[in-house]
Amino acid sequence: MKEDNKRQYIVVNLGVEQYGIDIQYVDNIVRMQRITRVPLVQPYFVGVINIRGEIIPVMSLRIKFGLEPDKYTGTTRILIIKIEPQAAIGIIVDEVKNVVVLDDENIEKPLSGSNDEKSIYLSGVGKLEEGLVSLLNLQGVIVDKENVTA
Amino acid sequence: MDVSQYLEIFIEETKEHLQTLNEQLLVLEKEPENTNTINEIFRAAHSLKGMAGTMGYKKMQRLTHEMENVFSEIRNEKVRVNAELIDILFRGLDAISNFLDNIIATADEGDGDGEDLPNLLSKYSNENSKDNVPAAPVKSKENHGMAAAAAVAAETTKEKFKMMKIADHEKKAIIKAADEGKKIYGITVYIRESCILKSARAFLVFKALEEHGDVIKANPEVQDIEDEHFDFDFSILYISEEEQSRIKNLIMNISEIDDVAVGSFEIDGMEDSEKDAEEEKEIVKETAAKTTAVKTAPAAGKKGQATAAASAAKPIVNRSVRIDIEKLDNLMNSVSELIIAKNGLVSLSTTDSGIANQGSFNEQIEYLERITTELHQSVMKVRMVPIETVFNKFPRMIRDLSKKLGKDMELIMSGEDTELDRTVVDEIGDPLQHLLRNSADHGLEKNSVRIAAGKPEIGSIYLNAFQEGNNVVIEVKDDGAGIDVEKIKKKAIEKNLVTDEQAETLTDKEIIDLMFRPGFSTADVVSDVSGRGVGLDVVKTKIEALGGDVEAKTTQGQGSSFTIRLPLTLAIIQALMVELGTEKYAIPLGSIQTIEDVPFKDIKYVQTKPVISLRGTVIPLISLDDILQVPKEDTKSETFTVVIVRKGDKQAGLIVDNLIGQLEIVIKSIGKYINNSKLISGATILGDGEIALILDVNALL
Repeated sequence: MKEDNKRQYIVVNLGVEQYGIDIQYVDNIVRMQRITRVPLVQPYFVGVINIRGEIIPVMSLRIKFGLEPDKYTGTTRILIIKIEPQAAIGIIVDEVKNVVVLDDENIEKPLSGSNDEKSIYLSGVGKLEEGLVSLLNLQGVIVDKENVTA
Repeated sequence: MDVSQYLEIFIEETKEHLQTLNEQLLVLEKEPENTNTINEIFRAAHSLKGMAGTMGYKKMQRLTHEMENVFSEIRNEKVRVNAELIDILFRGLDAISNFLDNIIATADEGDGDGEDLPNLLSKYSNENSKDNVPAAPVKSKENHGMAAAAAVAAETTKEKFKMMKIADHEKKAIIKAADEGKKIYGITVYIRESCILKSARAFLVFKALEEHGDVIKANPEVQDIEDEHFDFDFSILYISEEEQSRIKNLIMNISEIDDVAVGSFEIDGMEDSEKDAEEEKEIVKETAAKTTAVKTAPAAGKKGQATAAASAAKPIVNRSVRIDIEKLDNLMNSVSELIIAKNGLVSLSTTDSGIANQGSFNEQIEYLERITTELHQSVMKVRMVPIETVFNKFPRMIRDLSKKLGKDMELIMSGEDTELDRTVVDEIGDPLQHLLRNSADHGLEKNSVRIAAGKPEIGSIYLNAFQEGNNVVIEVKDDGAGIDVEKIKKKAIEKNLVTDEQAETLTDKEIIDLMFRPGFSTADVVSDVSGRGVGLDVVKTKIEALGGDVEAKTTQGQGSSFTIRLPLTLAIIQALMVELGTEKYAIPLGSIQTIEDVPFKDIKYVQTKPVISLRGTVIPLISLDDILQVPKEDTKSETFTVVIVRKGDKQAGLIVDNLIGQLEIVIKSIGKYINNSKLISGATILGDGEIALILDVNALL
């Protein structure tokens, strides 16, 4: 963050869409690695990984967003997100593209009144020269709200 | 000077003294003539008062002061111990622990109750004796060891008399003393700058002086000295018959005193020609100033300042463990060895490699392995505290309950020295208290009923702790009426926990387990002792959170028992590594009984559930593959491996695909957001960086 109303976002690809993730919550970006399955958990948690001795659960945004399951390729990355200390979480993305700076003027609030369950996952839409980027509301994505779908 | 840095020590020590007082008061009630006990109580009360004073907790100080007076009266055999007095004293202790709780939470003693207690107590000590003043000087001799406390205490009594005094009186006293041929000294004491507890040293000075004369005036004021509101010197006006050199020696004998200046002081001249004139002049000036306006104003100001400092210091109180020095030494030894082992490896890597080296390399690795195990054990030992710290408060509680419920009962404890992890010890208090209350309230019958049933009139509650393998077992037993299974069944149906039909098929044990369901309470009358219906399920939840489990047993008419099983350590365990398909899992060794190779044909079915019969016991089989939804792999072998696990007296055989071996594993959490089933208690990282999940056997059974 250089100035108050400017934020840096990491732009990632997920299917055909671009998503922006506020850089201040990103702890690390790692390559795909062996994921240990954890039985009997929410379906979008694909398992846990070991990042320097810390065990971090990994969720699939694709499954969470109802897209087809991840196909792990050479560009697949896991973003380690920390929205609070001592509670990291990994999210799988197809590709990490670049880092952009957005100020408030270039961010549009998500459509209000939208009934789409996915709307709580977004905090806004950023306008870039090369297109639109959906900004993820990490709190909404990470914290489990079972009743949203109900 | 800010005293908040001593807050931790204060809290720890206050807890200890409270505990001593509680214990000894119980003894005193039974043996009112036991002088050892009285002295012990007296010492604890005295230290408590001193510490409260030093820390500036006025209410606590006042209360302890009054209690101490009562104890002093008891010691001087001016007051007789009776149940009523003990009750009041216990109430006093409760009030003190309330203060302490407030202090822990907010660093301030709070408004707390017990306002009436000091009066109640002082009435007690006054009514029963006309002269409780002479008792005061006696006590200061008793407490040589407790420097700060004794000194503060001696000061407090004096301070009161000071408050009534005005400058004229002081003058008169000096003149009077002079008339009586006593010598008047001005003394300035310099405390070493490295001294930590300045006030303590100062009070040692006061104490020493008071044994040989009277301190008339201090500068800064005694209160400021007590609060450490002074630099490294203070001055005193002092009346004594002793020689100047002797007084000087008295003070110099106290450690951390750098220097002391003693000179005679003359009231008439106001100008002093003797040695160290400047100090005395200062005193005189100060005396005049202080006694007029300053006396009231700074007191108020200081108070405000103190509370401000206290509230700023709010979250300072850390959790601490007191460690036996021997345990630390062991730890240090292990670390030294670790360094040696590391050096061994370093030197190996610098010499040329070869086949011959391989052997010594392995040797070093084995050495390293041994040391890390030792190190682990030492660290664990450091975290271990005897369960005594929890058990200690129960005799008092049972006494109170006994009075409240009108039943005679006694608590018989064993295994107080059993050691448990500090975290567990901290958490186990509430559940145990609950179980004991249950035993006292629901378990034991009224005395008349007991006599009618041909039992000893006094009910017994047993609290036992012992180690069993990798577990610590705590039993709460009573010899009361036992749990009425029918009553529980009825209640459970009433509360819609089970249906009529279900209830009929349940075994007694299963019915007893219903008591641990939320919203269950069997007391017909809800008392304030137990029976609010939030009882046993909370106990169970808490114990399960600690990785343990609880089990109830009962024999009609003979009593019931609750058995709590807790893991010895939390962070590192020995585990058996097994393979399910391609996945690796860890099963805590503590819950494993045996491992068997069983031919497929030995599987029998009971009510369509697979079991095996092993040395005469029928053991249900659990297919971990199915439960954990492991991707299936076809196996062609004719036998399969069963890990027999046990929880209490329940057993089960876990079918695994492959055994890997025993490993010491570090338990790690698998994260906060993952909605984990109870089956997985955590994860661990293996040598190659791979993650293995840890199975919670308790949840499987």
